[in-house]
Amino acid sequence: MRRITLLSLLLVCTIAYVPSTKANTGDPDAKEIIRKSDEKLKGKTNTSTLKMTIVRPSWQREMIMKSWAKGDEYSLILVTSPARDKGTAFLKREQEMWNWQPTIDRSIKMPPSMMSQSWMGSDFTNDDLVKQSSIVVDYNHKLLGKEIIEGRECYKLELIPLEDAAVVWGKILIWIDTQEYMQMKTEFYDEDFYLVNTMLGKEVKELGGKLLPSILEVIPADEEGHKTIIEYMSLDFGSEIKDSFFSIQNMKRVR
Amino acid sequence: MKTLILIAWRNIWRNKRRTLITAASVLFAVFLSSFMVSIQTGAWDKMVDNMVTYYFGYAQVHQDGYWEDRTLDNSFSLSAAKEQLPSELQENVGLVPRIESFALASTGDLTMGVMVVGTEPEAENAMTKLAERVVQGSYFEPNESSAILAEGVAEKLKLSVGDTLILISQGYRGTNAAGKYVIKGITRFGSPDLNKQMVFLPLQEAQYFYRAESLITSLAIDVDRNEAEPTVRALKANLQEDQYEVMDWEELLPALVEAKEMDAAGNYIILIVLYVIIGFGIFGTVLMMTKERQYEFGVMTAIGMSRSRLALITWMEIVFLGMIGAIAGILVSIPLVYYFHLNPIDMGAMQQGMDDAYEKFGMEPIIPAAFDLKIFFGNAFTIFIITTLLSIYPIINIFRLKPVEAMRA
Amino acid sequence: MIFKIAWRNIWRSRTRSLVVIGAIIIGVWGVIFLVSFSTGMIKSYIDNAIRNEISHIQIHQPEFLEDREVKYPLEQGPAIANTVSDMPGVEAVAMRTLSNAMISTSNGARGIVARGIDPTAEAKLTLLNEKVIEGEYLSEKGRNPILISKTLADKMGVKLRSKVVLTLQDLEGNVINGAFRIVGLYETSNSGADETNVYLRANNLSDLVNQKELVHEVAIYLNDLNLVDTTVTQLKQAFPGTTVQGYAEISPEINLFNSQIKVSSTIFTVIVMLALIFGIINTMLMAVLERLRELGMLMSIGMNKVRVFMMIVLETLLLGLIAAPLGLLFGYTTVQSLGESGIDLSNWSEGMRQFGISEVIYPYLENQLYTQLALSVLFTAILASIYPALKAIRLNPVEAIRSL
Repeated sequence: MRRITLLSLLLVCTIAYVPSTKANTGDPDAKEIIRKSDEKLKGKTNTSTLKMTIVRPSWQREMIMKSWAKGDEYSLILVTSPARDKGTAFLKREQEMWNWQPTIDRSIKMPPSMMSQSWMGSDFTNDDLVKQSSIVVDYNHKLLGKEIIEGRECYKLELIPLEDAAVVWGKILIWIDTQEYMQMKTEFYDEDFYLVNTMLGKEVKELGGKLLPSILEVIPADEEGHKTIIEYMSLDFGSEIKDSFFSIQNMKRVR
Repeated sequence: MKTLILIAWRNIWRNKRRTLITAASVLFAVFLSSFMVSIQTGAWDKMVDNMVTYYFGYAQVHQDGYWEDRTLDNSFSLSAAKEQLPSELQENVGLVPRIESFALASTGDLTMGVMVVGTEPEAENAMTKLAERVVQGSYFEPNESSAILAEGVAEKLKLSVGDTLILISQGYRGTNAAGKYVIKGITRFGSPDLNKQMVFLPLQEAQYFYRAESLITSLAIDVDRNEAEPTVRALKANLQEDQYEVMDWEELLPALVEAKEMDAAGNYIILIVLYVIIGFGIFGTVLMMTKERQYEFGVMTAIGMSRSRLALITWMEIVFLGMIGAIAGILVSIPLVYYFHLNPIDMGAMQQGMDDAYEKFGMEPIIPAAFDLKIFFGNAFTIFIITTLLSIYPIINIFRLKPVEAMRA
Repeated sequence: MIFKIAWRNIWRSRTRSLVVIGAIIIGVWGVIFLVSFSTGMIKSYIDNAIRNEISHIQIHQPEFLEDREVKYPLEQGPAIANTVSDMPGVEAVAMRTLSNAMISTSNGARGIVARGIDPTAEAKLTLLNEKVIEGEYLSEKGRNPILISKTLADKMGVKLRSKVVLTLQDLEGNVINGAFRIVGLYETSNSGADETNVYLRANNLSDLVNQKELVHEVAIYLNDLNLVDTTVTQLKQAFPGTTVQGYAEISPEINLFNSQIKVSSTIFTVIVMLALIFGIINTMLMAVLERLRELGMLMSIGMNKVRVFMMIVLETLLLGLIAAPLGLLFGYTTVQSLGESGIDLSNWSEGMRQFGISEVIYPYLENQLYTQLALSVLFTAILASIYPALKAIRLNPVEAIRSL
């Protein structure tokens, strides 16, 4: 089971919301890049429709879902396709995660034992959706330089977790677009600095009026042929969503 | 040579009482050791049978790699596997197909992790007697979509027969699995492990729940212990090795095998002590016999019989005695052991509280003696060898004999 | 008078006497060894499970036993532990903080049970420190040390000094994370339990859950199995509102195996006793047979039958009195020396060697049983002499003399 903070997913969306930073003439220091983007995340909302494709050596499966998010505290994901899963919803409220199953007319709180399972069979785990570690607080940051990713100039940053941080990675490398502050590529390493996961941003295009990678790929390093692809079909930023939208009641009603 | 044998044979009947006593001690030795081994074997056969038919069965077929990584993604198609099964297996033995995985069971605010097993109700009952464990409600009827849960699960979720059980899990290939089921029955398992996690669904219902239509994770083969080995061999020969794994009960229940091996080692030591005591008993009679015949030996050597001939005759006498005793021992053991095979020893009657300990596990508190001709012949042979070895004493005695003194004794 | 004759008779026929003495010695020794061996076997089965896993007694909050959730602590825990440690027969007491948790590494995550322990108390109770096969046992050193099994480490792809993250719920149900360093890897004979149990310091776990001291379980190890029932009763009275369980209740399997071994060893002892009786009867029969002439002579010169009978029985008694103490001594020495060095069962079983199991049995016998067993063998021997003695006095003296 591979893990990638889904937080990073949300990051991508919200960082892109940042009205193109009037870039400083000089390069900001590493911590600054991360801190600024992380701060800009807070309190912002987004609504999206996305397609998740799970790719395995012998089969692949597609799901379409709608997602609402507010900061990194709240998010709600509703599955709209395939038919048998239609209406299934996941609600994240702070560190809790709830699941609504229309077929049995029930919502349940996901217990820790289920959190380690992969999320809907993808390369994400349920736990990734609620992980509370922060890429600002829990890591030491270092700017390694600039590299071109997908034809865009990016800062290459190295994140090393603090000794006591509840973080499983030994190291993270992030490539962040120098202009749009998009995460174009992230590599997650274990404690021996072996690559575990790679996340790629692809096909940058305008979504909801912003420039964004429209496709995200998560590739576990040591499982050949495994991949999870998320494609944004529509994305909308900044619409007002009340906290009460992210309620168990609403999880059942939302369409 | 022939004459020697004849003399030896006559000699042993010259003193009938002595012969009977010696032969009897061999007889008892054969009987007691056979009985002991039969009980030891029988007790374990019973224990193994109890444990094996509790859930796993004597043999199981899985998708290759399932045992290492027990997930639904390692399931296989029953119909495809059936094509590869030896035809005689399909006709003669029961197949218990199951789909097994973990799920979250819940009611109200209560949730707990359970193991949801989809199974063919009739075949399951034929092998594990699941229906007999139902303490509330009743067992599955054909074409039903209800659930049967273990008592511990029902207690924790505060559910009883007629209530609805909610199951949520991850199905085949990580799909979303959710379902609700009316509780048809509640079963009691002696093993606390099973009692607090088992939920049974009819096979098709579970396959739908896990989104694994027509797939199973394990195929248990319902055979008797005696047929287990050839069945496993036949399965291994027929099923494609890179596709399926065939496991026998010893691989499925290594802890039981360990306990059995440990007990067997202990029993082996006990058996050795028994042989020592038996051997000494027989030695006592042989020694007495030698003492008693000092005069006779003295006379024989005095009248010119060669010592080696005399020793040979005496040795043959003891061999005859051993043979008579061993054969009689077998003849006596067979009906007696068979009696205890048919009428097992009731442990409940022997020790207080035994009934309880066994009943908790849904087992009978009995030890049937194993009835296996190999046991009788094996022990008869061992005792016979011990007896022949003991004849070294009179032989040594004969060679050391001083005829005059011996005759005077 | 008879006594003198009997005594002389014994030494007149030395070989015969030595055989009877030998039979009784071997009998006493065999029975002592056997009973001590099967007692040792039961003890080792039970002791292993009790020592390593369940302890003799466990005390929990009743709700905790149902849900195993961190929110049901045993409030009286420290008080109970205090009281218990002063009770007679208590060898070790340990308090534990227990929580279901998820252990994650970059390689994945698994559900486990986090056991917060007092390293010293736990070492005394379950000898956990002896099961560490790599690295070190938990100590007060280090900030967040954790001890996991070799099995789990292999499955999670971690090793000594690796960092792992524990995710668990606090008392309010909030999810919390903590980072721990693996200081040691352990291995017990129960691989299933190894996969689920990880050990950390109780204070580390309590801190995570935001409480000063949080106790869920008090486990007690007694120095005598027979004290369990009375201690359980006492504790039940002293601490109402808690659930006090003895080992048989915690693990009925132990009880089952225990019963099975007990019954089968009783059966085996009976069989061995029978073998012994027949051995002695046969030897005595032969001994009497050999003396037919002598006995016939005695009777024909006017010794009455009761006296002949008495003489034979007395002879056996005397032989027994010589043999039984020797057998006792022999048995006692065997049990004492094997009780110390143990018998490694794997030397006796091909299968065990194959599985790589080594189980050492320490024969054990309670002191009063020695004399009881010796006396019962002696009694058996005397009983065994009665039949041949009866046979002897039924002889027609004339025939008896002629029979040679």
